[in-house]
Amino acid sequence: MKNSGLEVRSFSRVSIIFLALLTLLVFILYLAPVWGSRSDLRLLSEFLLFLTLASLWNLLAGFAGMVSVGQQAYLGFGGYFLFAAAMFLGINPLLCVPIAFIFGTLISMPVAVLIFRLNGAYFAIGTWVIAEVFRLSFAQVSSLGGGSGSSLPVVVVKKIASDKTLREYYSFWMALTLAVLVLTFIYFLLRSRHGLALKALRDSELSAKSVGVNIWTTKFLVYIFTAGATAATGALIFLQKLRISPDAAFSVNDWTAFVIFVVVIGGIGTIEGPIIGTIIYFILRETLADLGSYYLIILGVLAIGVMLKFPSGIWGAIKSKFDIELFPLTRKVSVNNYTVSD
Amino acid sequence: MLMAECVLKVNNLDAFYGDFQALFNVNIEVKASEVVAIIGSNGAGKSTLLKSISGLIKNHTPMVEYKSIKIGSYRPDQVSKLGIALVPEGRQLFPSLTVKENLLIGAAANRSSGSEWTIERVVELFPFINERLGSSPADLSGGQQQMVAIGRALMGNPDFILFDEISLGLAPVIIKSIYKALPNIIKGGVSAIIVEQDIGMAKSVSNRLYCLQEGRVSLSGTSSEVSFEQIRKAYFGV
Amino acid sequence: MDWVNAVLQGILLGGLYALFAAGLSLIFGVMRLVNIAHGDLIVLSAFIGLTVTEVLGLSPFISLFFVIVFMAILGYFLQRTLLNRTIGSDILPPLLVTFGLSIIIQNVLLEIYTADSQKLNAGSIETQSIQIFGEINLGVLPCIMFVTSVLIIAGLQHTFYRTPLGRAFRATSDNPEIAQIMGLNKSHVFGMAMALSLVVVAVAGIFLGIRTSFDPSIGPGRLIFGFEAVIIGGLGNLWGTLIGGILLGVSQSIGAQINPGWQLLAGHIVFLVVLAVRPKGFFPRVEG
Repeated sequence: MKNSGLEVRSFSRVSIIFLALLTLLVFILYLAPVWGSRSDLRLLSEFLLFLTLASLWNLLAGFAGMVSVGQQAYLGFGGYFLFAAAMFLGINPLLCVPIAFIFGTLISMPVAVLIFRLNGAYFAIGTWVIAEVFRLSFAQVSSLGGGSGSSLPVVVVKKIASDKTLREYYSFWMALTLAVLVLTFIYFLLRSRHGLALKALRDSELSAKSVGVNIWTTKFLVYIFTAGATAATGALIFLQKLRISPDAAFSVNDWTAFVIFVVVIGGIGTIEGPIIGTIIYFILRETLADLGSYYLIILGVLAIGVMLKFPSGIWGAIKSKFDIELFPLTRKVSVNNYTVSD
Repeated sequence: MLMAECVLKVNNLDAFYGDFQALFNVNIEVKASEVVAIIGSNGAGKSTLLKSISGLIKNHTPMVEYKSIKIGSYRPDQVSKLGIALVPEGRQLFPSLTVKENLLIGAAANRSSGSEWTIERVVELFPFINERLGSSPADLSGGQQQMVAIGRALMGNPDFILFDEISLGLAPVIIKSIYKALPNIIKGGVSAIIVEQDIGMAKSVSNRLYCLQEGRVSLSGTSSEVSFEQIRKAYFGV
Repeated sequence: MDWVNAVLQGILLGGLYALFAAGLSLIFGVMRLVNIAHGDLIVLSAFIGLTVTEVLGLSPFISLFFVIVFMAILGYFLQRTLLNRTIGSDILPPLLVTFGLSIIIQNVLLEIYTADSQKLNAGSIETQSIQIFGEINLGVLPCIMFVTSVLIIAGLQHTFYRTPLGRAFRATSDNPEIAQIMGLNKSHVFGMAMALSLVVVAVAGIFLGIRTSFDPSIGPGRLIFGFEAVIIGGLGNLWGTLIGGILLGVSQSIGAQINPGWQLLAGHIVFLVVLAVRPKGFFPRVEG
C-alpha cells in the first residue's frame, strides 16, 4: 500500500533470502535417504522431533504465556496411544501418528477446562499434576505392561514395511513432515490475526480483553493444538524407540527439562529461538553426553544465567543488536523509505 | 541566604521514567525549619521531584544533597533512615495492616531524633485515631486516612517531611483542619516540602515556593511576596 | 476399624503435607513467588540431615538444628543473590529460574549421593505406638510430627500477625515501594521471608526422612503435595492449608486402603475434583 510515502512491509530482504534457502533445505532433507547414512537419518529424526517439541512448548509458553511443565503428559499419551492402537486394533503404526494428534487434542480439552482455573506458577504445577495422573493411570493398565512397560511386537512393526531400511525411511519422512507441518502452522498462526491476539495477550491480558480478544478461547485453542501435536510427536518418538514404559514416557527430565532449557537459551517467544536452542542442545550433547546429569546441570545453569541477563535468549540478543528477523513476524512501517518496526 | 543553613539541596536534577524525561535541570533549596511549597499543573513533575528526593526514583548521587550528604542514588530505605519521610500521594496505607500497625510500621527505621513521636503523641494530634486503632484502613474516610498517613510518616521521627498532594480528593473543611495541624507537625526544627494543587493554600502555609512547569522550575520566591499574576504566568508557561 | 485407622493415619500424614505447603504459602503470600524448587529443597534438607547424622553421629532430631540453620542461611542467600532478581511483573523469570533450580538440585544430589534410597534412623521411637479406643494403634512418631506441624503453623501465624517482622512481611507484600519509605529494605525483607520458609522446609525434610525413604528424585512429588494442600485449603490461609493437607492425607490413605497402588492417584483425583467444584479452595483469603 503506497500512500504518500507510507508502506507496510513484513518481508525484509534478509528474510526472503532465508525463507528461500529454507525451502531448498527442506527439499534436500526429503532426499536424505539418498545421500545420508542410516545413522545420519536417525540423528536427523531425533533433531527434528526435538525441534518440534521445543517449538510447540515455545508456542504455548513464549507466545501464549502459558508455562507448562507437564507437556510430557501428552507426549506419553501419544506413545501409549500408538502402542495400544497398533497392538489391539491392528492399525498401521504410521497411521497412528496423525490419529494420535486427534485423540491428544480431544483428551486435552477436559484437562484445559480444569487447569485454566489456575494461573501463572500454579497453572504450571497443575500441568505437572496432570502429567503425574497420566503416568499413574497408564502404570495401572496391565495390558500395556503396567509399571514396567512393553515392547512393540515384531508383527506390528512389520506393518510399517517389511524391509527394515524402508521402515527407517518412512519414520524419517514422517518426522520431517511433522516438523515442517508444525513449524509452518505456528508461523502462519503467528502471522495471522490470531497471532496478533496472542501477542496482545502476552503483553497485557487486561488490555487485550478491552479490545475484544477472547482470552479463554484463544488460550484454549492454542493449548489443545499444542497437546495434539505433542501427542503426535510422542507417538513417533516411541514408534522409533519400539519400547515404552510409564517412567520413560512421562519423564520430566527427558522431555520437559531439556526442552525448556534450550528454548530459554535459544530465545523464548521467537520462532528462531527453538531452532537455535535445538542446535545448541545437539552440539553440546556430542561433547558433554557422557557427563550424564552434569549435562543437565550445565544446561540448567546456562538457562538461569540467560534468563537473568538476556531474557530473550541468544536470538533475542542477536535480533535486537542487528534488528533482523528470519521468520518475518513484525510488520515494519516505512515512511518515505525510512523504516520503523513495531 | 547563608549556604550553611541549607538542609536539602536539589542540584541540576534530571529525572527519568524509563526513556521519558520528567524533570530538566531542577534546582531547589530548603533551609532548616522552612516550609517550601511546590506548585504546578498535573504532569509538571511535582511528584517526580518528591520521588527523586525520597529515593523511589534513582538519580546520580550528587543530584540530591541532604545535610551535605549526597543521596541521589540512595535506596528509599536508606533515605528514610537519614530522617526524610514521605507522605505519599493517595495516602497508600497498607491494607493488610490495622491503623495501629500502619503507625507502628512508620517507626520501622528505628530512628531517634530530637522529637520522639509515639502513638500517643500522634493521637494528641489527630484524636479520632484513638477509637480506630484496630480498624482496617479501608473503613476510614479519605480525610482520616490522610491523617493516619501523616501520623505514619511522623512515627519515623523525621527531620524532613515530604507531603505529596495531601488535599487530593478531600473536602475543603477537612483540608483546612489538616493544614491547621501543620505547625504542630513540624515544630522543633523540622523542614518540609509541600506539593499542593491549591495555590492559595500553598502560599499561605509556606515560607517560599517553587513553581514547576513541564519539568522545569518556572518561578521561585518568597510566598508572601509572589503575586498571583506571576504564579499564573509561571504555571501555564506564558 | 481398618477404615477408622486409615482416616487417622491420613490425618497424621496430612500434618506433614501441611508443612510442605506452609513454606510454599508463606513465600507466595509475601512476594507472589512460587518456588518450583520447593520440593527439592525439602529433599535437600533430608540429605543434609543424613550427612550430619553420619558425620557427627547424632540423632536426626539433634541434627535438625544444624539443618535449620544451614537452610535458613541458604534461603536468605538464595533470595538475595538469585530470586530477588526474578521478581517483577513478568511471570516467566521466577518460573523458569526456579524450575532450573529444581532440576539442578535434583541432579547435584544425584551426583553426590547416587540414586539409592536413603532413610534417617530415629531409633526405637520409630516403632513405638500408643493405643487409643482399645483397638487403634497410632505411631508415637507420626503423632509427634503432627503436633509439631500444628505448632509450626501456629508459630507462623503468630509471626505474621503479632511481630514486627510479620508486619514488615505484610507491608512489603501490600506495597513494596511505600514499605521502603518506612525504612524497610525490600531485598532484606524478602530474604528473611525465604529464610523463614526454608526453616519450615528443613523441619519438613527431616520429618520426611525419618518417616519414609527418600532419594534425589522425589522432590517434585513433595511440591505437588504441598501445592495440592494449598489449593484445597485455599490460598493465603495457613490454617486452611492445614485442613487441605489433612484432606489430602486422608484421601491418599483411603485410596491406599482400597488398593495400595491407588494411593497417589486418589489424592490427585480429590485435588482435581476440588479444583473443578471449588477452584478457590475451601477457605480462601487471597487472590492468586
